[in-house]
Amino acid sequence: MNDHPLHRLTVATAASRLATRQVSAEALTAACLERIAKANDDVNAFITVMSEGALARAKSLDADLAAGARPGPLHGIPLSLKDLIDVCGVPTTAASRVRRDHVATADAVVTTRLLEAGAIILGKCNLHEFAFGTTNEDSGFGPSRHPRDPRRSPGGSSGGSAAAVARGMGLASIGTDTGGSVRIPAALCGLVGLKPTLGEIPTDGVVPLSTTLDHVGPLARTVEDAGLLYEVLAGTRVWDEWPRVAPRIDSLKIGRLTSYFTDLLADDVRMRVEAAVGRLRAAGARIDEVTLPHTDVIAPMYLPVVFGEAAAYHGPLLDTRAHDYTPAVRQRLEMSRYVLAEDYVRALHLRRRLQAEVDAALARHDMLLLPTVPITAPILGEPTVEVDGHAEPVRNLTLRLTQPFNLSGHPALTLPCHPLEAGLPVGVQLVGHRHATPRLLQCARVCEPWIAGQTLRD
Amino acid sequence: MLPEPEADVIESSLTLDEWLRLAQDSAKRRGLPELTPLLAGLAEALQKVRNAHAALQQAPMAPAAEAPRLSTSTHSIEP
Repeated sequence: MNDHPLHRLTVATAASRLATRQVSAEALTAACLERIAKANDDVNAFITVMSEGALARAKSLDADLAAGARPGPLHGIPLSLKDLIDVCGVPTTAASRVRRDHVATADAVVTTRLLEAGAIILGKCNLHEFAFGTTNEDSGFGPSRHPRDPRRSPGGSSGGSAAAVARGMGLASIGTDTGGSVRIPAALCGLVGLKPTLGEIPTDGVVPLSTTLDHVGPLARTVEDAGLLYEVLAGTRVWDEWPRVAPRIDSLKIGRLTSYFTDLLADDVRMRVEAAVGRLRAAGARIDEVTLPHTDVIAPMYLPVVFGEAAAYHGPLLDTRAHDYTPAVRQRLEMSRYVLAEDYVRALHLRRRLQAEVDAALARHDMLLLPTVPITAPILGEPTVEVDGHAEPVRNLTLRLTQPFNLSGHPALTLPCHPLEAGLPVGVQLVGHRHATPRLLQCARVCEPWIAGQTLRD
Repeated sequence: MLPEPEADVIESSLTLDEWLRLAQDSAKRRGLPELTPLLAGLAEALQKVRNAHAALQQAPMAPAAEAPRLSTSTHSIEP
């Protein structure tokens, strides 16, 4: 029971110990802050650390519990937020010098929900500037670094969040996902990351990238933890019904996406996802192969939607503070301003077709399975990586398998594969039916031991 | 009295070749010549969107060929 240091506990274990007063919120928060003091320089995960406020809130929550208060589901749980999410009185920098003077005047809706549930906010995490990238190397506060290898990217855009959780600087983090920005860093850092159904979690008080495709979601150490956080963020219940509705592994019907989804994979990723599929089959899951038509237009249709909406938000800032952006993000934003409205609308039409095609692929399955990212964590600063003897752009590769489900709106979750000896983390992605995120979480929890093989998280 | 509209702008939809030329000229005028290859990549993507949309209008939900490999261009334009 006491085999993990406090900063390595899962949310579920910590919540249980906090509720029964085996551990105090103050001790747990202090352990995480100590970890931040020790490890943050290695990975540059935090832009703002809220030590004083976090400790004061922890003491107050301990006092409430001692006075007989009923604990909320996250009572005393120390976690972090991607620095796109407003906390009243604290800067929301979006990892950009453009917003260096900004201070939020109200909490985001998700911040309110977390605080009402008893969470303690440790600080605000680094990201790819304005979430407009997948590597974290373009940040006004310097790049976040991979928790296992500082030469590498933790992925992005919620890379600081992933590095923080992986290094024990908080028990979980809340990120955002427009093309994969929760799932990509979670996969590359060996964590669970959830993008719920589009629209389930409010984005009010979150700096937008694409108002059509933005999602808020948790990065955590287990599927159970992701579910606990999802319940709070979405204001729904998942695990209350768990014992009644949990499927058996041998009752699961899984559609394994092939062709576009398996054509371009690093050897390590292919081998480990194959092994995970083999373990699921051996456990009794029925897995058959499915594919989607029109995959050639997935990446092209994503661009006018995100570019058009990013340009609408950033246009006035580009006119007045262009030189405060990092050069690469500024370039892409300036390019975004040339997208025509007619192409934006065409992309939205195509998006509806993709949604219907993913629905059809799911019709006879509980969920779809595919790799989360085709490669392991890339070296920071390298624009391409070699796959199957070809140099491929890192940005295209990292988004390739996640962005389809931002466009379609289906819930998708990444969870870590069994590691090869000394290998970097690899994620398996599970995609559920729209408006059935709790069911996806339940199915993923059943699959988790077979996909993980052994934990990467301890 | 309103000025006469410019006929070459309103007579038909802007082709992507025309769009690309106008966008690249604009970027150069604005001191952003580094956008030139990025805009060319964006034009390729937008052409695929237009082709797919035209096909969708003619035959909704018709099956299509499987996706080709990603471009090996190092000018990544994804956000």
